[in-house]
Amino acid sequence: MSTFSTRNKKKANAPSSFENQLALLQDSESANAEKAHQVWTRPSVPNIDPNRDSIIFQQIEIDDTIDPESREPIIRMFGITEIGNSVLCYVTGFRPYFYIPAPIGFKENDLSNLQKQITRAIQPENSLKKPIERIELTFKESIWGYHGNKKSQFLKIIFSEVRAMNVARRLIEDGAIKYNERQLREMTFESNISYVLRFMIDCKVTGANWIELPPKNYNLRTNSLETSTCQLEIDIKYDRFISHPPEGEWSKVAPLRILSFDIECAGRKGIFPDPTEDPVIQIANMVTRQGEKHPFIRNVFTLNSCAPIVATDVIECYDQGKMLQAWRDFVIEVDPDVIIGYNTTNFDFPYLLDRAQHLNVKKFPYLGRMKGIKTEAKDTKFSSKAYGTRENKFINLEGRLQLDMLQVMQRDHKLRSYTLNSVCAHFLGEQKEEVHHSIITDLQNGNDESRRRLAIYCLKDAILPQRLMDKLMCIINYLEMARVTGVPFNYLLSRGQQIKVISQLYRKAFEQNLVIPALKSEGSDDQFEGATVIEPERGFYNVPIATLDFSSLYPSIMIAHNLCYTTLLDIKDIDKLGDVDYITTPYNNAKFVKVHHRKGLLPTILEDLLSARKKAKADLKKETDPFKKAVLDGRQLALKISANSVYGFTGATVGKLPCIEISASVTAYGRQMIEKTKQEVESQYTIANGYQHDAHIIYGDTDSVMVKFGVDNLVDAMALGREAADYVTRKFVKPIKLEFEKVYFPYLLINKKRYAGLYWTNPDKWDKLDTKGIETVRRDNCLLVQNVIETCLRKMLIDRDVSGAEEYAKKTISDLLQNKIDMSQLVITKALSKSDYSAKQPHHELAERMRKRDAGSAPTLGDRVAYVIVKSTKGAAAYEKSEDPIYVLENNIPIDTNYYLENQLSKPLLRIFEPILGDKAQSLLAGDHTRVVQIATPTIGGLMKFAVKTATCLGCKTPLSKKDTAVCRHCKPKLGELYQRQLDTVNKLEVHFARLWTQCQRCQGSLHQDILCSSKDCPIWYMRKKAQKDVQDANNLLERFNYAW
Amino acid sequence: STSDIPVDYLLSLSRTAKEAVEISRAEVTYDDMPEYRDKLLNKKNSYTHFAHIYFERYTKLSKIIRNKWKDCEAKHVNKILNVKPNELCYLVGTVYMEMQNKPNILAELSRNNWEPAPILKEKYCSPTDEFWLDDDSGRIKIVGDRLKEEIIVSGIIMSVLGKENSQGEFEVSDICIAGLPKQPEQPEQIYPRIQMNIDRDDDKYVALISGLNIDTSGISETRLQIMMEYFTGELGCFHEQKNISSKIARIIIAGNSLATAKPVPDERKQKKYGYDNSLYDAEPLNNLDNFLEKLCSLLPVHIMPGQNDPADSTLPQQPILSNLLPKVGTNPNFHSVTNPYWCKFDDVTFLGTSGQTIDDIYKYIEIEDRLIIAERTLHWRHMAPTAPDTLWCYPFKDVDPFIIDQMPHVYFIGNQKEFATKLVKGIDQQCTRIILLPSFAESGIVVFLNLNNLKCHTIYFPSTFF
Repeated sequence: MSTFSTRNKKKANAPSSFENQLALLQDSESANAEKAHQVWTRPSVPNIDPNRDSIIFQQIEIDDTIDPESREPIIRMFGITEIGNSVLCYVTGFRPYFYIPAPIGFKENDLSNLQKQITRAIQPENSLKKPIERIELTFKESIWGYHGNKKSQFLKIIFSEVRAMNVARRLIEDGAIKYNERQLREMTFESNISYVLRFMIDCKVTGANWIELPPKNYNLRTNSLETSTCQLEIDIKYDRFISHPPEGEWSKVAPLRILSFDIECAGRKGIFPDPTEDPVIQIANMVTRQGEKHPFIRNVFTLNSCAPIVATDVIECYDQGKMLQAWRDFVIEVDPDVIIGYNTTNFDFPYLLDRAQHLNVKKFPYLGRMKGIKTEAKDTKFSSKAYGTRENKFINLEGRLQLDMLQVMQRDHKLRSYTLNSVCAHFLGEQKEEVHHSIITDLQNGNDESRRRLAIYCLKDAILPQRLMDKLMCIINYLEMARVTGVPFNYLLSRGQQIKVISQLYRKAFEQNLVIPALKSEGSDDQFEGATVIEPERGFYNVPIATLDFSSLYPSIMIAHNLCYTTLLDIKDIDKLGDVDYITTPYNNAKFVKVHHRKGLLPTILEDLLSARKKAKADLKKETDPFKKAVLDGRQLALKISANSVYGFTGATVGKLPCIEISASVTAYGRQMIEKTKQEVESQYTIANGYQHDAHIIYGDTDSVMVKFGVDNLVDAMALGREAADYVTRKFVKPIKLEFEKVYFPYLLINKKRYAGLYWTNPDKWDKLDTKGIETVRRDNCLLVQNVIETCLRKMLIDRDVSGAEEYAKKTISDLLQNKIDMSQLVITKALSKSDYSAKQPHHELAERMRKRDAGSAPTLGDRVAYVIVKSTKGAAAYEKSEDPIYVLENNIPIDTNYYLENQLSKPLLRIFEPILGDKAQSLLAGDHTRVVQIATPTIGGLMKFAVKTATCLGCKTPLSKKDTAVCRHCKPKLGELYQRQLDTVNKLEVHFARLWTQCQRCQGSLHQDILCSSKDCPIWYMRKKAQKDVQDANNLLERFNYAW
Repeated sequence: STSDIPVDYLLSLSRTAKEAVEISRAEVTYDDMPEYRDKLLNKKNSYTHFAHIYFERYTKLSKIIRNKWKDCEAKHVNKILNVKPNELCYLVGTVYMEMQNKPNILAELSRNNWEPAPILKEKYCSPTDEFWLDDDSGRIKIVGDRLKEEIIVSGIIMSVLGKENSQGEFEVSDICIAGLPKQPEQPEQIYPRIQMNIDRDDDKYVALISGLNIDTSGISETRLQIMMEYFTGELGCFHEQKNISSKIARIIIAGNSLATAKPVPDERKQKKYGYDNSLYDAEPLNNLDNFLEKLCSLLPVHIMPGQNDPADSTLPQQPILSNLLPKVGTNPNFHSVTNPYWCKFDDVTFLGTSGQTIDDIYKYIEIEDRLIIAERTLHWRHMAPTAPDTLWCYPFKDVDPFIIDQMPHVYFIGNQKEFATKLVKGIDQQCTRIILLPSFAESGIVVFLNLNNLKCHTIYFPSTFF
């Protein structure tokens, strides 16, 4: 016991204190066993007296259903109370409706007749006795066009259910209904909005806001009537509850339960897991309460035994079906509000469902909150201009939100790769150990220790989506977006940008008694002229370039010129309306009335959004609580995005309400303003006006202009920039504002939307190196391109060493040609997506070849294939020259360095050097540095069978005679020096090897186990393999010296 | 316990010494301890996982530590992942420290190309460091104030007593490490001799030097020459020759005999983009060869490689190739040995390193006193725990050659900032003389160790004659 400090010696030798401690622990342990499941369940519901207590909850999802008896539509609101009870609130009595313009001369007493006519017309398709509840005569105004602020008669047709409404809409639009012997053919208004959104708009419910049910107004369901697994089930009439706008106190967030999970399947070698064959072997789960740092439930369900894991509940199951069932029961008991994971929507959920069906686990597919509603995976296709077309699965989990972090990443971030590994490396700054799926089955078939290793890996994958979400604050940002735009939370992931604008447009229209026509969307590809730019004057500017930006350009143009549907003036109407003030926009003479006649709806929405953003930003500055700060930041971001999407909405030709006059006018104004800014600046800042230089605009883009004031220092450039911004702002209509934001110095202007510069906002320290359109992150580029371009830019712009950059580029090319570039820099990766490509692709061809070599380790569908381009016969196509990097390493296959020079490096390099060197840039690609070429000697391949290997002198490379081992006789006197040189090489490689391999040992979180990781996204993976080979080769060379003396 | 002799006095005596009496040099038996030597020379050209060396270390040392708890009432948990929440238990594992400031190649590789490289700090430790305990099942985070009382670095085998808390961390209430190893039984115990602490006529000395830093500049030449004259007996009076110089039986040079080698560009060929044509200046190596030739003509010299020497850079460093020193290479008095190095002169066991081991541990902890660190390595029974994590070593497969399984009598660390020494005694009458050797080129100090009673003293050699 020599190593204990005296304090501890006493402790260790005093049995009494130990016994006490142990005894204490035993007590708490038995209590713990019971507690384990109590942790799972939600806090119990306090006593509620419906006559005295109100119920307040944050709704997180709203959907609709049909009352099984009365067939009337019902709204379901799912939510969470402040103490964490789950709530299902049935809202009854809300009816769908739409408007049509009343026929000319329509009178109040015509209503019942019309109702009869329509009812008769729709009854063959709808068996309801009374499909139309009633028809009301109202005075409304269409949102489309300016009509002198006159309201006209509209009929509000209120239906008892949604299907009847849709039938009626079609019949009325097609003119299939006769009324008073005439065909009733009308455009319908507000008929193309979903029942749920209609309800939310009319009842002023926004996404994820707080709902208060006042006492005496609601009915609490008893157990026997409960239809869901929620703790509270309540009925209320649609006009009896209070919907709190998400402001002040009501901007809080309920303690949502977030389940993050991951599954592991035991696949067969070389085959993508198939749910009818391959079992699910582990499911790891992490449950966190929103706002808390650590999960309060950590468990893993394992098939077969698994050794215990620290701080984790291991639930061993010995039957596949029982494991699935146990997991399902766990989900129901934990009752998560949000379920997250990585690729859960397209992989984990469908796989679990299919597997459960295959194993005939009947009770499994009930994962939502509604009893008796089966969870299924359906195929959906989602197209959006902003996000492109995606084929996805849709999993119904009534009452629970789903956030597949893979989809969030693909939607919100542009990355080189979307594997969990590279996403984590990017956002969390850490690499994740990746176990190849061929090893998973081996680990599963091992013992409880190997299954534990697998479980730890699975648990890691379960916690990472949660950590990513926390880091990026997805929940908060999405909640705020739902609140700002007023759409349900799940619309944000499943629908595009338009629905957010529609929601806001309807809400504002509702307030102003406007109705919105249901246009048939007619897809047209009419492209109007975009925001062209002031032609860039390409070059390298070694003087400060001030950048003047229009803040919120498009929204402020719409506000400034009152551009809106409601202010759009039809030329034909001008005479009718008499004396109107209007403006004519630069687009096609489109006309809009001025604000004193009518304030546009869109400008109003935009003003609200911009001022709300201003307020959120001001509050953000004052706020000290980090959580509230996050909420406010999420809000201001949501407001910014919303404001910018309004313009896009009016220009979306396949959208719900496209109006080319608005969108094209906006861009036309934008162009005009850029031009005007150029004129104003260039005519004001001149030597003639007493300035030191003539200012010159070198480039202008959508909402910014780059000014060369001619001064050579940042302080003057910034002062002039600020002055010019104010000066030009005065020439424009409010609220258009030109702002001075930054100075680029130096600035490399390559082309339209392609530039790089050192970014300064204060004259003392630069902020960052800013690049636009220099595609260093493109996926089909190898890392070398990114590194070379970035380093060259750094040398040019930060170090201001253009010749150094040139030298570096040459050195890299020389290294490339001499095979000195690390393999990991040359690897190109692509996902193997479809099994048959019409055009041959390198990665697909390689996958085929690898399958022939070894089916077990070959990449399967969905895997990412990494390859390098190797030397082949002359004229071979690129797809024939792809090869597995590991195979290349092991067999010394020569890399096609010319391919990398010509197809990868040359274009981006020339692009950044041409503005500086002009035609001389070509000299980068040819010259002295390209003269020395070194090609690896392959160990396989046809010709090598006949080749004889001869050792060469380590000093002068001449072939050695048999009796010499290291150097030729001429170099013999220099033996010591040459030995030291080789030793130095070995030493460097040894250290490199040690650094790489110990890093992997660190990263995999275990010092005692071999490294299993095969993450191809990690910069170390190939380097590690190469280092191993290099150090061995170098050592072999060194050993030749041992016999040389 | 050291007697520093002012060299001015020696110099003044040398000129008056006229007596010509034959004095013979002391001799000792030399055992190169093959049980250690073979492990340290075991570097084969096979580069693979570092897990094996950790595993070997854990297997060897965990047994010893487990035994220490045998009277403890708490439960022993044999696999770290078997720890159950809230249950008092103890576990044994390898310490792993997560440190932000530790050099990290992954961070360097994934660093943005326009960010400047981070400046490496002198010490890795920071308040955010995390401690983990690791075995082949997995790892657990260990927390608690008790950790702050102990010197802990990555790679040591340690046992902790405590409980897992609700966050899944292990709250440590007590710590146990292997403790000082035993010393093999000897027919004539050294311990009593140390107790007696007297100088005798038959005293024998081993001279310990490190950091000769020979280069082309010739700066240290004078200092080397004075030292050489001291060893030949040209310097110092008869008394001095008789009582010290002649009693020096061996010299150990603990690393950095050469100054950092700088490749010199070959000026004749100005090939810009060709292969590496830089050459190494052979001059310093020749100088070393000449110096050692003289020294070896007097007495046996053991030379260990250090960081700057022409040997492999990862531990254990292999002996400097004798072919590089053609004049002295074949001399039977010349012993080119490994770093670390175990040997035995008469019945006194030596263990020494050229300093890298302690230098690396130094970065992990706030403590400045390297003597404490060196002593700690004996308690850990491991001389280089931070290898392989931050101290580069060869990935051994079935051995950890850095384990200290017996107490050496002398434990010297080369190339340290300043001279320091301490006698460490264990409860089983085992004892070790720890010596920190300063760089000779910088300090002019050579340490003389008396094999009889493990006392040591230094002699300072000035860099100019007068």
